[in-house]
Amino acid sequence: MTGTSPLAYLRWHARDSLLRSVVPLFLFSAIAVLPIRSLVSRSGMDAVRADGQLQQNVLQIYSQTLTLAMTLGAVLLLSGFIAQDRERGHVRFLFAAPVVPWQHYLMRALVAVAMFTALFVLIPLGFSWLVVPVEIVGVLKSALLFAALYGGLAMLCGALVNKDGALFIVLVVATTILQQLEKGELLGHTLAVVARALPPLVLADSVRSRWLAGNAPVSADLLHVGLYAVALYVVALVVIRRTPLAR
Amino acid sequence: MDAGEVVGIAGPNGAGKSTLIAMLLGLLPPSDGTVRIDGVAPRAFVEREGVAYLPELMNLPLEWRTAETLDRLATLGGIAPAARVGARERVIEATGIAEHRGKKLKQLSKGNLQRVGLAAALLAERRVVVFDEPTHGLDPVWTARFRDIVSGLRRSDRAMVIASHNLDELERLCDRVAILDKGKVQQVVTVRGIDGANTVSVRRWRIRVVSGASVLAGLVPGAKVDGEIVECECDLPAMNRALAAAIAGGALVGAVAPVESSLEEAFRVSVTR
Repeated sequence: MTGTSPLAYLRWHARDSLLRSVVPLFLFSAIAVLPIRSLVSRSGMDAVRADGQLQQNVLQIYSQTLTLAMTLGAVLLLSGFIAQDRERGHVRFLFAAPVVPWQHYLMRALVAVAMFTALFVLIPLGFSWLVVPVEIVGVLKSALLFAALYGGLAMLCGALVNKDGALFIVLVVATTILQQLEKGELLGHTLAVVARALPPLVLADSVRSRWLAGNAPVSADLLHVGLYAVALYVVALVVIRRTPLAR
Repeated sequence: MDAGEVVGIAGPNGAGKSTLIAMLLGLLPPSDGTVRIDGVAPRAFVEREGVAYLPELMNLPLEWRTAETLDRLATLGGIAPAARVGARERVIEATGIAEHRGKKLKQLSKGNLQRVGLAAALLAERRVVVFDEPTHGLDPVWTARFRDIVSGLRRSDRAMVIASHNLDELERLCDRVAILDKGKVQQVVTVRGIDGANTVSVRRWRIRVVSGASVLAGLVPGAKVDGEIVECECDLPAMNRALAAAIAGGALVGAVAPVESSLEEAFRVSVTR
């Protein structure tokens, strides 16, 4: 007798990830659609396309809201679910089945990241269709990178502690502050080393900026962020494998 | 324990019953010693074959619906897609939850939730069955039905573990009962013979003898007489022999009641040590 294939539960993973994956669409709609619509309806679509300044204003609202929705969506995507399964005792039921827990959670993460990316790209597609053409492939790549990096960090926090939300927020805030200071060369040697060892959130932001502007990022930066994200998942899965599931 | 056995785990609150079950599911490592199922570590066994498991409280996301919950667990349980609907309907029928199939788990009463848990545990054929306080929240009718279901699950290649506070329930369902306290097995009591007949030796008896109480008292060493009431201690065959002899000697027996079973006595002695 062998265990259940980790692919068997994909349909349910997709269903569980759907709500979190559409959060950025709701966020974008709630924040950007009204002001953009008001500018467009006041001046008319032709005026927006013809008037450089007006178009600039619309694009500024679009890009600021897009990056906010992407970051918040990525933060929420994989936060809490492992710790919740453990804390509420779901693990006892789920893993009495012939299922390998780390494979189960890996599948959940892969499905969530894929769905987040696929749904997020609807924003630039819709914007290009309805307002003015914007970069699409760059948004797709950025969404994937952010979902992977923040998702990996959230998963590791969930694998490590029950209060994963608090750990995640502390890590993100501390990392962002330290790395911003490090970028401005305002840190001493030790703190600079610590800042560089933390998840490359500021570097991911700069990779995204270049992609959204239609430029190629620095390869070393992209490699650093990508490998770091993969490492976060690997460590999270090893922790899930090695530590007690009921705590 | 051996395949084919039903072993109960009894113990007061905090004795370690649920911790032991978490170890059997491979969710917790033992702090000392080893746990093996079929020669392998519990997690390896569970990941290979799965375990039919019913916890004291159904812990699953409460926004899931009953039928969806069973579909999900059938999927995780490795039931082939073509057989899932059949398996789901079979356990819905067996546990009488058809009217709740479309309801969210949070809309169900504790008893119905427990029946969903039982349905989930029955979805797939497993060689190891673990029930943790299985009748928690069930009404008397479903408690009796649960006993029938457990009896139906007995199989020569299947091992069942039932943790419960309810000694009467364990006595009815199990072959042996391990009494756990302070994280250790204090005593193991055999309550069933190989043929399944209950061989619990009821030790203390209260017998109402309408006439001839002294005849019966004279047949059981240590018996005490108080008017029509005779109180004595002996095992079941000795009690039967004494009663037969007393009746043959002219005694008129009105009622025979066990005061305490050996399991209750063993439990009381073990947890007050």
